[in-house]
Amino acid sequence: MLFNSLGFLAFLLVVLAFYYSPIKWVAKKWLLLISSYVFYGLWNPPLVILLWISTMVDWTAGNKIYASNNPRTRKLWLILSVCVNLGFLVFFKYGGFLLENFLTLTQALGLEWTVAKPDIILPMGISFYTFQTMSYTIDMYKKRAKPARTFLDFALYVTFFPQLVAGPIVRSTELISQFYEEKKATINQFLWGLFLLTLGLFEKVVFADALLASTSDAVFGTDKILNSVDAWTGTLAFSGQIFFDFAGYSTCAIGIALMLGIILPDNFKYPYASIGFSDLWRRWHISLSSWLRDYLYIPLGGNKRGPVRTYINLTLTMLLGGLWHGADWNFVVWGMLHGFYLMAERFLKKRVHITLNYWTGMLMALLTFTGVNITWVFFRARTFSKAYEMLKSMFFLNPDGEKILQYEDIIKVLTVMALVFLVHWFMRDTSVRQVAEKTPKWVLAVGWAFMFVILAIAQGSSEQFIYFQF
Amino acid sequence: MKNYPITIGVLLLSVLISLIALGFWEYYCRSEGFVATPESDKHLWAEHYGKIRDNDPEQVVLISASRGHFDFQLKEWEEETGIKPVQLGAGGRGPAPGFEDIVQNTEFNGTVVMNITPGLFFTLPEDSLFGWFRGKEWLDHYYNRTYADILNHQLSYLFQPYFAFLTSDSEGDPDLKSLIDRVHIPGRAPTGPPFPRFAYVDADRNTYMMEKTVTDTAFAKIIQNVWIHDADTVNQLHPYKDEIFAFYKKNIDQLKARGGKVIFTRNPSHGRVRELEIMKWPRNEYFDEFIREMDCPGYHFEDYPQLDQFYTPEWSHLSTPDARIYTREILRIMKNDGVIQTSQPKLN
Repeated sequence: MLFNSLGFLAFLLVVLAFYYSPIKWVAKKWLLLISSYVFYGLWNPPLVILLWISTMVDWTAGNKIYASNNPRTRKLWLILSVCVNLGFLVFFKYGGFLLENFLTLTQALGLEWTVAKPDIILPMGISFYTFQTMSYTIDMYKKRAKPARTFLDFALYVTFFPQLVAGPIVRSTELISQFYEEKKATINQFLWGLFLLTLGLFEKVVFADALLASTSDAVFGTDKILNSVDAWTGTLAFSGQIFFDFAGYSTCAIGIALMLGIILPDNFKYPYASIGFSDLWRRWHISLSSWLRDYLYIPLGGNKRGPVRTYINLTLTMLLGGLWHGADWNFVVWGMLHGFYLMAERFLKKRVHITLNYWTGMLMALLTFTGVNITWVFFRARTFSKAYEMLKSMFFLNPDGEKILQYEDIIKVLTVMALVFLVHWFMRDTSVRQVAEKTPKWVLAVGWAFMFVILAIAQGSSEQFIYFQF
Repeated sequence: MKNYPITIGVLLLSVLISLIALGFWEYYCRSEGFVATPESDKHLWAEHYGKIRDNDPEQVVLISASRGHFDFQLKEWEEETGIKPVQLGAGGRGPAPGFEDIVQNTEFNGTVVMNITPGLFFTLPEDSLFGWFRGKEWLDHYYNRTYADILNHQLSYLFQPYFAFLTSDSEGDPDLKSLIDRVHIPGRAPTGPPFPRFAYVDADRNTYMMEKTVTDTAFAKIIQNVWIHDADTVNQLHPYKDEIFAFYKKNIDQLKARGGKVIFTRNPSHGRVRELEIMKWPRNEYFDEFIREMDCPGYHFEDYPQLDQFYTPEWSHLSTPDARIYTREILRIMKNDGVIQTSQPKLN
């Protein structure tokens, strides 16, 4: 189910009506759990079984790990949990990719072997909920958290519909304990949640879909060799599209949860004004980057084992981060590029000293933003050759490249993205809520009405969120 | 931070402003001639495709590109035959994928009526023309739609039939994307001609040509340019003609074998569109030869004075009043020939 659909709004109204009816907290939690299965099942009912398996395995594994003092037993349960979760990912997400590369390898070795391409549907949001449940059992193993008090609390943690299919990836300590006592939003909290839901939908429907998607699709969808202006415009359009799409989803998720009285962590903090790439990963998809830091980078040794090992750890972490997004070498390159950026930043920080003031900060942010845009080419292009040609065009190596965009497309994208950069720059040390607190009430009302009216006018086809496929 | 900045007052003021703004917008859209109707989109098409029944010899399905969609009016069809057909016509979408699916994947054994708009009818995947692929796109949606898609579509009936500002599937419509797309600064890259809305549908997918298309010749000219542009991009299809004929023959024979029937029509076109059609798909090599080979009833408008009395305002589709007459006339011919299904009185 998509947040930007009439079906979801009807679903949310029904859930809220029951949630705020005079029933016991346990019944409300069952309501949320069943609603979450309905939310997921309306897309593809049989795949709810995967959620059940994941829930059962990790609930059992978590309890066994926590209760046992035998290191071997604890390790075996952890391995089982990780294998089941990664097994799902490998089968549903990476099976075809692995097979394809295996076949390429066998053909390179001169072996004639053909296998039918598996026709496996990718369960929506599988990477999100498997990482979330894995974090639970790993935390049990590390004794960083206590098991959920009841199976219902745990099942709801795995399945909670606002963040089920595209995050934020929440830790058990952030969410499960909120289910222990009755949650009820105050009126102002509820209204703020509704405001955030409107803001998130506005980001998705107006900016990502109506303003930027068509330019990005046109540029990345063509087989033509492009002019550098078109290549940059298409890349910037995708850069904005993916930000508004994903940040919009996260804002909706946070808003919906808040309407239920439940607090989810921030997932984005104005990433396009990041000064450097380590700053970027503290601002972009925060819940994934912190997951990778805590469950991969630090266990690998982090930065505690010398510079060479640190660089290797960074590259491995970002490579896995790339693969998390999709089973394609383009995503691997995207991750490796980010790994390279982080290494380069670390290397240069110790050798080049820049005093950060307003202007140098903005210049560094602009440089970081440019670097990020180059990585997006690999993320969006479906083939290496397309990414290669796009980069050649962007670096003025295709002087005879074709013009496919109209003047209005270029003006639209450049205006939106210049505004995005400036807004991120001015907002980088604050938040929407802090700004709203300082804003006169009537301005908030006009702003909210403006978003709602434009959303109503912008209706049309409900486009899927990009991150649902990850 | 314990306080949240939105209060009840903010909500109420915001709702009030929104209602006033949307009220004005709705008024403006209606004054511009937009009508509150369901969108003629893949969801509505899929809903109607789902109405195809197995083993019902009385059922009639109309499947073709836009010409069959505009020119056959459902009310008149029902009045003439006692049967309300399922309208699966779709603008710019060839009927071949849908027809093949009806034959291969259902037990339908009623009557299929297909209008032949040559550029969209004589296509196969091999020729890479949009007629096949666009037809397949909506068929794929029928099979791939989720329960959430179906729910959203059903809920859209709560709003679309009442608010004209929700019109949003054509250029020039009042939705945000179409409004943005209205801005055009020429001179950088080639682009197709503008293609504004010139018709709307109801929940049964019956099509109504907008009055402006009939009365405003400058507006009709804009639509004519689209057809010329589309027809110009299509080359003669001789390389695949045999394969196309074989494709239809195989499916028609299969449908006939289980008691079904196919009727072909060739509805009117005029002006440059007609010239291009005659040039690229000469009647004797295409329509006549096709009907002969398929061994099915075929009705070409040129052969019947009562069908050749109309003028298509934008060279390709009949105005709604003309389409009503055309539907009755062609059905009367078919009834005289005994080829069209009419409702049989049920015996108690």
